[in-house]
Amino acid sequence: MGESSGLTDYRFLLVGMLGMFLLAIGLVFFFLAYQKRLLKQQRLHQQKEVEYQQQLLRANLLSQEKERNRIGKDLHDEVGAMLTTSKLYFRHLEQDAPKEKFAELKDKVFTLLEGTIASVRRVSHDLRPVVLETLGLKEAVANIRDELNTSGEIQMTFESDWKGVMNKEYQLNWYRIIQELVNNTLKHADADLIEIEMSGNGDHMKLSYTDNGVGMASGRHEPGLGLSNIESRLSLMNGGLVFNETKHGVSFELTSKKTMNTHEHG
Amino acid sequence: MFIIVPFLLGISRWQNLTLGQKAMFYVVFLAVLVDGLTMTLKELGIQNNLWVYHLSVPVHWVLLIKVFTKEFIKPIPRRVLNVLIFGFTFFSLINSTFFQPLNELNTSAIVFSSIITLTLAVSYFYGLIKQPRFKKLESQPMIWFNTGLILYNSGSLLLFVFANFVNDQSPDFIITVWGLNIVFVVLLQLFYAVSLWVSPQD
Repeated sequence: MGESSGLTDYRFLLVGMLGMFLLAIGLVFFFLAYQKRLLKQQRLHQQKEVEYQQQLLRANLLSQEKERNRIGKDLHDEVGAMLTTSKLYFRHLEQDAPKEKFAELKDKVFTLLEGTIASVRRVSHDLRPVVLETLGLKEAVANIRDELNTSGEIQMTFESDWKGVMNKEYQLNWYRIIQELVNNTLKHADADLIEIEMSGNGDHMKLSYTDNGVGMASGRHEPGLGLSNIESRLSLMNGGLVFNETKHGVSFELTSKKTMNTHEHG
Repeated sequence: MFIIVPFLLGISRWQNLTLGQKAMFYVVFLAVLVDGLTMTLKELGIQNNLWVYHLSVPVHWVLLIKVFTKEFIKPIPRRVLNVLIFGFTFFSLINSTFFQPLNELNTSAIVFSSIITLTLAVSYFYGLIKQPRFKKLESQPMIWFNTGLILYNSGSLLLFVFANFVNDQSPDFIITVWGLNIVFVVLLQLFYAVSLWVSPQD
């Protein structure tokens, strides 16, 4: 009887030791497998992050090139052409020419030079929005609204209860984002109403943008470059972009987290 | 005898060992000392060499805590370290003085240290799962060291819990279960050897 009990204890202890050992092996394998899976996920995440950054960089470069081309075209087609014409007029502008012809040529040159100045001002304004520089973001957006409403082709409403401080870099980023959104609506949306709301404080800024056009599903928007630029600018401001589902048109909510690392008021 | 493998590896690679690996080497070095001392005592005809374990178990514990201190992702707070080191040493002293005298194997201290070592080893793996930081697990010494600790302490824990019972059984019984313990020890030494062999890469 005693021998049988000893044998049972013996088996119990051996099975116990081996069982614990096997459990430990199971635990180690679980850890290793889980860790490998985590590392794989981490690698994929990093890869996606790199691809996204590359996409933003590419969009940024393309956008710069596009802007340079536009400026080059404006200078060549408008300013260059007007200056060339002015030069031709100057060639015919002689002191001993008949008084009437001299006055006519002088008026033409004067008109051309005024046109040239206006073109240069427009190009310069596109590069550095003066209203933004002098009056800040709210006034600059209000200026876009006024220009659009004056055109009569589309109506824009703009409301802002944003209170805070924003540096010039952030202001310019937001201004360009709004310009991009408005341009997209004008080019592709067939909309007759744009609504913009700005809210937030020094810690964050939120911008709601909606139009009543054909929407993203129509495929007429330009999701590649334009939206990548917007995302690129938002990522520079630790922000993001969210699409809201709407029956008609598009609706975006854009946010930036930090707006106060600055000394200038918006 | 297997302890000589990680010991020689540690000696030959001493210049290339990281601080963590050096802390691991001290654990191996203690095991060599204990093995050497117990064998010498046996050769000298001194039958009871169990007092060596009463000394080595607290020292081994302190050295293990040093390894974990160097390798844990979140540093162990100083207060917890003090509780672990001084608390265990105090417990070991009380155990040797009042409960398991020097001519008995100090199984209570060994079991207690095994349980806390297992807790620390599992916590280390849990910490890595929560916050992975190594790209190549196989080249991380602590992964090998920790795995060795988990396997050995899991396998041998029950033996030390029932050690007094085991020693009253038949010689076959004793040889089998202590033989199994030797297998676990050999395995532990192999893992120690690998932990001293690899060069850590992130």
